[in-house]
Amino acid sequence: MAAAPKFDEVTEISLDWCSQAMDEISDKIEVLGFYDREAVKRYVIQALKDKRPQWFVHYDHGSEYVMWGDDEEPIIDLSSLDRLAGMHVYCMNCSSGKGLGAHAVGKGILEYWGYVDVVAFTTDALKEFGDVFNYGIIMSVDSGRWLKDVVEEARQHGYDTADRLREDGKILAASAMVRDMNILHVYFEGGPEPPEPECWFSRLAKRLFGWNGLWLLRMLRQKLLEPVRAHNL
Amino acid sequence: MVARKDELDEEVLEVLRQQPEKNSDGTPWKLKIGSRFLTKRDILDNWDNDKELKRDVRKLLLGLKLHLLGRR
Repeated sequence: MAAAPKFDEVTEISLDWCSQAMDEISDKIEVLGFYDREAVKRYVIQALKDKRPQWFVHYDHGSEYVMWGDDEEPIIDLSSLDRLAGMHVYCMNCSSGKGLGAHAVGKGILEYWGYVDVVAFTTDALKEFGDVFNYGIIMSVDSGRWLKDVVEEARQHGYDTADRLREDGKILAASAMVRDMNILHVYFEGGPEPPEPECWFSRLAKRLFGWNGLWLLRMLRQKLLEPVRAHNL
Repeated sequence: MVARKDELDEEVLEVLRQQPEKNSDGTPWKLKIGSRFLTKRDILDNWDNDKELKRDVRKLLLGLKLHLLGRR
């Protein structure tokens, strides 16, 4: 299952990339796409319940604890992360790899591909960025390997693409590509623990109550302080 | 050697100045970083006042420089 909203210039581009990736893999697995106005929580959560897909894919925008929908409301956040239990999760969005990714395995997600900071790209290399952002899921579905087993190959592909962009004089495109590859991370069952939280309170909570206790505290905070998508991050 | 901060700033500005304002298809060149989607003019006009933007663009170029050091 894939969800890709389209509510600004950036999501117009990322929706194109997402649908290209889904087209590429649609001869290997059945694809259920929620694009544009359909990329909202009520449709996606219902389909997750009804269809129990093996994969969940989300393209821009994201933030640490939220995958945003077309209505600029969360599609997935900390409280609904467990809806993805038992799935391979592939995100092209900003930062969700840091927050949601850290709690993914604790919530029963098999593996979570995400970026642990804000994603960058430039419009003089849209084809190359699309190719790199889509590489992991296409490679994984094509080869039958887990995302964790293709991530280093994907990262290398990104670095090689960055080198070609630099040789073509597209310095900022190359810089953005290198950055994206540096912040790409896959959390997986049996893999290394997520890094210690930066905030002392979260570190203490994690030591006392474990990752799921920290998830509960963060989830309650998210419920109290409804997240709003920042437009100028 | 990686450049000092002021040298890096000058280098970033030089890269920005050399960046064509339009792509080969005639559309405006833009950089997406987080939720920002900025033209060359947006970046240069806000360069002195927007510390976050400056930090983000500086980090992009620094990342490329470190990557190149690692590739040698």
